[in-house]
Amino acid sequence: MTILMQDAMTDNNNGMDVADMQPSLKDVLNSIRSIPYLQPQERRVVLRELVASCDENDTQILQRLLGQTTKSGFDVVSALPVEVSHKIFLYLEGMDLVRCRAVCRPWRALIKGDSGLWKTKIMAWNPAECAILIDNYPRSQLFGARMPSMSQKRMDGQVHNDILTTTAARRGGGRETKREILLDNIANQLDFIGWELTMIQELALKQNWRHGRYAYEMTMTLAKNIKPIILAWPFLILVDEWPKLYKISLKDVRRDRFRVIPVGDKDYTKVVDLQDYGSVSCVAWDSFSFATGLPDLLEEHSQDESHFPLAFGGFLRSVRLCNPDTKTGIALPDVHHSSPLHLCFLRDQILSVTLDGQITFFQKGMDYRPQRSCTVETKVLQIAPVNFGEKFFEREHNGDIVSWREVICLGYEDGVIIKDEHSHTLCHILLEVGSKLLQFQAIADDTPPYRNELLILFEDPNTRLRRVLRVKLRPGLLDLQEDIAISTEYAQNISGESEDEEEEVEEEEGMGTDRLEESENERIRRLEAARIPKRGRLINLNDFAGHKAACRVLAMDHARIVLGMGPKVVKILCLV
Amino acid sequence: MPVTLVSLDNENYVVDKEVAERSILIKNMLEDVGETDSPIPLPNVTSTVLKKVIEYCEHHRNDPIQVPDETDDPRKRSNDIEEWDMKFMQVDQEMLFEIILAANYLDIKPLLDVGCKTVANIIKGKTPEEIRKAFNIVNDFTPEEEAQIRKENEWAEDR
Repeated sequence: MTILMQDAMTDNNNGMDVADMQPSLKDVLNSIRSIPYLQPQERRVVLRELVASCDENDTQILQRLLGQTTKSGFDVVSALPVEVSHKIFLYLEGMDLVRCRAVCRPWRALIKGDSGLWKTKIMAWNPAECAILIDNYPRSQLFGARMPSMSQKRMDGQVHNDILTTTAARRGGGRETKREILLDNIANQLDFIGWELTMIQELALKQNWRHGRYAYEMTMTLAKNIKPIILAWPFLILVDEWPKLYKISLKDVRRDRFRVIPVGDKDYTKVVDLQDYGSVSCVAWDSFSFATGLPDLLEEHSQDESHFPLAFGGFLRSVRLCNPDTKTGIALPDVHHSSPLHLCFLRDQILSVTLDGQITFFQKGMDYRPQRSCTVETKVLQIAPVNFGEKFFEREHNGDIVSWREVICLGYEDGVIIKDEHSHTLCHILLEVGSKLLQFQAIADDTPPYRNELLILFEDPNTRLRRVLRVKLRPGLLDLQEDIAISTEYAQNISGESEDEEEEVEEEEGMGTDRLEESENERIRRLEAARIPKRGRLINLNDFAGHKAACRVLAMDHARIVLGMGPKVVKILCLV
Repeated sequence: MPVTLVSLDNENYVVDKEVAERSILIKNMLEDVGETDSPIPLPNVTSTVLKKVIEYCEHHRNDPIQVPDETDDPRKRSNDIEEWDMKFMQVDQEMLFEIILAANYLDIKPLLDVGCKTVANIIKGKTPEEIRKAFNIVNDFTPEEEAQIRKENEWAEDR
């Protein structure tokens, strides 16, 4: 019945060449119903006319009605009322929707016409997990007010309480409405690209990460040798050898898709002289205050370096940093024996490593007093913090319950060791025999699916190929009962396909309880198996013929990798 | 008290009131007219489809009535179909289409949901070409559009 009616309607639209003649559906139906009263001759004329005015779709419907076709399927989705088709699309995942857009015109139009669909899909994600939104809108807008300032957190216990209360508050009521208001605010922005595009870009980004692909590259040629570098989209902060700080805006560059930025280009770069630092050897920043505070501060007080919530280490054998609470610059007092090689900001600590393997922890706060220090035997190439975002872990250590949510990674020649703040080695990623670790970066970004990933740049000794290895860290799966080198399930996860993020979380919790019941033998077997190094996914840098040997990873975040090509050329690989 | 339902092709079906009231449309109609013996005409549903729909309502007669919630869960899942419903939905696409239409017209939300989930499951995980095959859809993009879309979706081709 409905099909017949549609037939009639299509007839209406296609068969009429005079525009002002718009017969009502009722009239047409009435005329059709009078067919039985016609003479056989006349009927034939009418039928022929009817068939002649059918388009391809109608003919298919006719064939189906007459049972002439063996193909059983037909376009259920377009034939249903629009609100029902939209209901069907609501049950599909983002990737399916993207494919549906490529099926045929009616489907494409149906999906485009449903503005609520994509927003609903994004609602199902935490907006904070959507990298595109993070890129385009200030972090403060997505996450609410600034986190408790550093000087407020002192004692260990207190710090953890802070974390717990914020987590609890976030889990509390009104979250849905809050999120909705937030999304509405974003949608009202002038430069908002639309939910459909946001979602599609986001999916593309995830897909590209999964497959180790980058979408395009951007090259910058710089006047000086570039040393430390920070990428905090949309800014790239570079420090050259004789310290000048370059802040390069990448926002418009991205719209242009590909662009070479000369250093003097005022539209894109700002340069600040950093006197008193000598040659800069390392840079660290507090990701939160950096993301919210620095870009603006740099604009307003571009002459006043004390406003940077950044730390520099250099030839003057000191680490200088800015306390964002007091807006004063301080020199960390205890890095005297040799020049600092690496710096890293943890949640409530700063950590420095010197050439001779001395690691010093400084408590964040007004005076950044050194807390403790130790010496490591292997040569530390690099350190990086990994932040597990909202997740929070507890374990027993010497009879006390210790909680943590951040770990430190140390890179040395043969691999990367991941340590938590309290214990010894947690897990150990060994590179293949002979390969040499050149550099690594932890993506300490609580943005799935790139959350807590480790990107390792290493060199194959035989081919001298340099490759990026991507390893996913999963803290929930690390067994913290003993302080021994283990890398258990996380290694298995590396080789497996990336799964739905939600499922992963559930799985983690499930595995946690299972483990308690595991027999001792099983556990030992696990530990043995864990020592076998496994590979992550590779991002091939082969496309840079001629540059391969020189390239080093300078900085990374959830959506791009900054490569240094020789001393003065910086390339950015973007995954969207 | 039994209720008589009349299909488009004038077939009469006598069902229990609680079965008929699975349909919000019929429920509202009965509430409006009060106690009545007169049959209820359903001019949009043919007898074959109505039989199927009644079968569904009979099986689900004791389910709690779904409260229409304004905030539909955005994380809609299409894989939580009951086994009986899954079997029930194993029909050709023409019938599936008619059932969904009838559920929509009769306002039987759970049946409409199951129908939509079934269609969604046909689409899931398929490439555009596979989807076209499944639904017998003609690719009506021009070669230029096709090329454009292919370029746009390049990243989505591998899973």
